[in-house]
Amino acid sequence: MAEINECSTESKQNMREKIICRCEEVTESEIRQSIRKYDLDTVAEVKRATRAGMGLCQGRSCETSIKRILCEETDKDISEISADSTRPPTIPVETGVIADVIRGGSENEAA
Amino acid sequence: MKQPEVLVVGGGIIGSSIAYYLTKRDVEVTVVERGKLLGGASGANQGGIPVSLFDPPLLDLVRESRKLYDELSGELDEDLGFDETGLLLLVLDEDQVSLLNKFRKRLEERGLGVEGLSKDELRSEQLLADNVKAAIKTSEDASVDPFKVGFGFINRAKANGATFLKDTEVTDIKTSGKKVTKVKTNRETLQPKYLVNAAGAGAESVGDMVGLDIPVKPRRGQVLVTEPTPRANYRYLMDFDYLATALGDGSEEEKSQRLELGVASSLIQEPSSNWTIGASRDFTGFDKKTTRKTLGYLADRATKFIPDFEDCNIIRSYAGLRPYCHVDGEPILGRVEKMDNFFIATGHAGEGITLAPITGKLLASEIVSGKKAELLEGFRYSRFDSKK
Repeated sequence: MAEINECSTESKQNMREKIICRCEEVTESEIRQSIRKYDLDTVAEVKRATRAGMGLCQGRSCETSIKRILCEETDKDISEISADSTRPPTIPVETGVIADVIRGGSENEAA
Repeated sequence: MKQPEVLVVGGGIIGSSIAYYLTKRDVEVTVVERGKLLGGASGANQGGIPVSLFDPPLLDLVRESRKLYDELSGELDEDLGFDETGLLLLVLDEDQVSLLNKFRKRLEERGLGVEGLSKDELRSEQLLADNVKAAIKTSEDASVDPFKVGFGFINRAKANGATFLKDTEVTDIKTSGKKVTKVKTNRETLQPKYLVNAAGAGAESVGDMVGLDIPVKPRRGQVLVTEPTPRANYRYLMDFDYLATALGDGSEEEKSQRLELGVASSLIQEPSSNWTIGASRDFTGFDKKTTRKTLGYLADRATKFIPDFEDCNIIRSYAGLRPYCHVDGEPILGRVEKMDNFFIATGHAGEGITLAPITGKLLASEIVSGKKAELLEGFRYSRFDSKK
């Protein structure tokens, strides 16, 4: 078994590369390869194909970088690359807080 | 452009699977998608492959599809994130314990793997709430990463010569007698030998173009996604209430607001270790928004099974529009007998990921061989003819 502080070949490779999505650890080359392989031209498609933007920050830190890469790969202007749709709650919110919307109703009186 | 032998309308998991299985048989296939590939319900679901919940004949179809997943793990280039831990079916309500036992007997009679969890086993499972009254674990149910399956089909189909055209919407279909002759899109006109309508919740409008009344409508399903948490022993959990809401076998329970929104817990820990919290069912046309109330019920119900969710962060929510057959809730599959070259594959409701492999395989088989696939009997479009 590998030592805990021993890097796998994959993570060594990743360390030499630019990480675009830090939450999901998606590298620039992974994103470029997916765009070419699947003929992608939107941020939403890159997300589905690579998980970039699916992490804790929901793309707030990487979306602009992904757009720039899409521009380079597709020869489009950044204004032509639409933003991904926002998916509530936009910032992390505890499950209990979301549940509070309905708590106190008849469903929970017994609990 | 070279004319395809088969034109598939719809670039979701179903259309992609059909394209994959057709190219395995060396058929020239083109897929047209009005939006982006896997951008509809195929990209807005939990990746569950429930098997044990269904009755024949759907059960037979589901079991065959589940078997195909074993093969696909080796055939497709992607790591499908296939998780065979099985499904834990949970009861919160003491009154439902006897129903759960009845359900377990039925699974045993059908030869489906199932075991009960003892009280001690339940209590020792730290993830689960103490007020879970009873649980059974079924073994054929599984889960996958739906994107990996979808892109896996697309990637292989493309390597085998299939063409995928996104942002391409069918605007008109010309027929001559019982035969589809030309398919107009916003980009070009195609003249395929065969047409497959795999347009999901949009299949009705494609049917209209050839005068077929395809009884599907969009059923909205909302899902919450948590931050990643440590790997759990059980990663596919289901509320026994799900059987009442999903399968509509008329729960006698007084309808609470939660059940009116079709909320019962379906909890899956993804390969990425995030949990997805489903499931809800309502009909609001093509509205894909998530709603505070339904998300509230989803969140509340989930914490009743896994109390640790209470202070676990939700990072995202989404909704998908499942193609639901509003006549009988069953999928609509196979060749349309009153036409020469028109096939349908829609109405999968919440079972699109589950049924994608068998749908692709059998549709490809019917198109290539011209013979009817036995397993599709009961799911054909012709079942609506007598009801009109």
